[in-house]
Amino acid sequence: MTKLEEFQNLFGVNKPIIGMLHLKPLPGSPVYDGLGLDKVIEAALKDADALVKGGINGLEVENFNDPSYFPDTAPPETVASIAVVAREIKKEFPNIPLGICILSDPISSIAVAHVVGAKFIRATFFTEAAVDVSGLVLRRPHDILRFRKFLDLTIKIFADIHIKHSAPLAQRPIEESAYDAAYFLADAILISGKHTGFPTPLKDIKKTKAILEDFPVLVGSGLNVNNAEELLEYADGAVTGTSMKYEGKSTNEVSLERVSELMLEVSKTRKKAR
Amino acid sequence: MDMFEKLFKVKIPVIGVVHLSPLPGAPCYDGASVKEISKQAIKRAKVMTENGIDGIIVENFGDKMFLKKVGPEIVAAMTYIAKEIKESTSVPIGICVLQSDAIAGIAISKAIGAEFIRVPYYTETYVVDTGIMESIAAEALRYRKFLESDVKFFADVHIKHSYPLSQRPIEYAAEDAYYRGLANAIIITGRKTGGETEVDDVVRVKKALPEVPLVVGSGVTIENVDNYLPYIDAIIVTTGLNKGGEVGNEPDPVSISKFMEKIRNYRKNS
Repeated sequence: MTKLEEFQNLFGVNKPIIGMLHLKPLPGSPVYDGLGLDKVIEAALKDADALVKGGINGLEVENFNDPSYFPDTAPPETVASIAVVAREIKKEFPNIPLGICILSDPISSIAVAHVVGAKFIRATFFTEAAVDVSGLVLRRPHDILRFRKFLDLTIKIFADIHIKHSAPLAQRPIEESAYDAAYFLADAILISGKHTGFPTPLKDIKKTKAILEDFPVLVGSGLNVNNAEELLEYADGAVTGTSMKYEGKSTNEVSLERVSELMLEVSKTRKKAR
Repeated sequence: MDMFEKLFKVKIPVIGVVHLSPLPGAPCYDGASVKEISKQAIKRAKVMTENGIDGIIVENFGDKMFLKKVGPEIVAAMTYIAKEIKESTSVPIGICVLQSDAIAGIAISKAIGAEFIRVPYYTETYVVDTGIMESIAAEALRYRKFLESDVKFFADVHIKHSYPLSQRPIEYAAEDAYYRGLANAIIITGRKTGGETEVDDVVRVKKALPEVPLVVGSGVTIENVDNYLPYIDAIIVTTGLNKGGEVGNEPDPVSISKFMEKIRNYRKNS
């Protein structure tokens, strides 16, 4: 089975759309409000409900509001808090494939994924070196892959390359970076725009798909009703959040109407792809 | 009202330890899902609480050899299980992350709303099977403050399975753990899990520090509990109330309810 087929089997659909659950600030976050995790869970469940009702194919839990993110190892309060929230999401939506993204710690993400029964993690940095707001980000696929083997080999790693909010240290063509990430055992590649919510450049997707035909290449930011058709003509799916929120703002709640609109557009594209 | 009475709504609360089976990643882990391990833990917790136990400590007892600083797989698994126990019982919950990772314990407590942590090596330095355990008190106190947590610290002194580097009297160790280490309660134990706590140790600490909340933390049985009761403020008991009184056996509902009946009578008469 190719990685692309494995990916499609996981979601049971061609070109799955994974909805982001941007969690409210967690304990320890510089902007945590001190009101307890129940509020965080409530908001996440509400967003998840709108995403699922609107027809989304997967959910990804992310500590989006804990800036700035730890570049290596997330602290235990973050691991524990995400485990609690993800457990609730899994309980409420047991049949939707769930992903974990602890920024920016793929090892902790694997740990939480295993414990709560999530199927994949998003590794915002997996291969190569980059410069971002924390300074130099040196990745450790060697450790991540061995930790996965140690704990749970069934968990899929969806790896960003040249991710938003960062600059790769080596300015090599994006398809070469994608090839290396795939070669070094990622299960899917995410390509994003400049910042959260910014559209992923079509040309980056095209170039990468041209050399990774049987490997899932996903839109990692900025998918919306206007660009879904052209991006998904080439991309194998998407992780998206911002465009489905009220007014298209990442800090707002998810709008069921906007989810449904996007998923309608996606289903048209899927039909064409057949 | 003393700290224990406030927390447990009863005088001389009896706290049972739910020993978790080996967690994912631990050397003796057998491949069971965390959900399965959790179900078994809830069962143990319920046998305790339904027969009158006043509080539960969730402890990764099966994870030997223990890590000084645990990985995220332990934090995540213990969080998951402790949350499940919290939802299925109504007694105060404590977290004990072995070998003595108070930081992980505080993090888990914050996430699930646990009331206290047990810290086996809180102050001073000990030689143990894993090498040398140093005090984690200064870091733990700051981390608790950072997380705006009100979790209570129950700190062992001269704990079982260890040799304190400085061979000073136990009441001195207790005084430092309480007044310099700002522990909320002091636990005294015997030589090993299930091993009888020396009554003399308990008496010495109580006499020197009558104001310090004091817990007897190992080897308590229905037969010997009378020796401790006049001197202590809480009891941690597990092995003595297991089936056959053996480490590793399941908690025995009959022993627990008999034990609790005895404690309730003592509370009434004192």
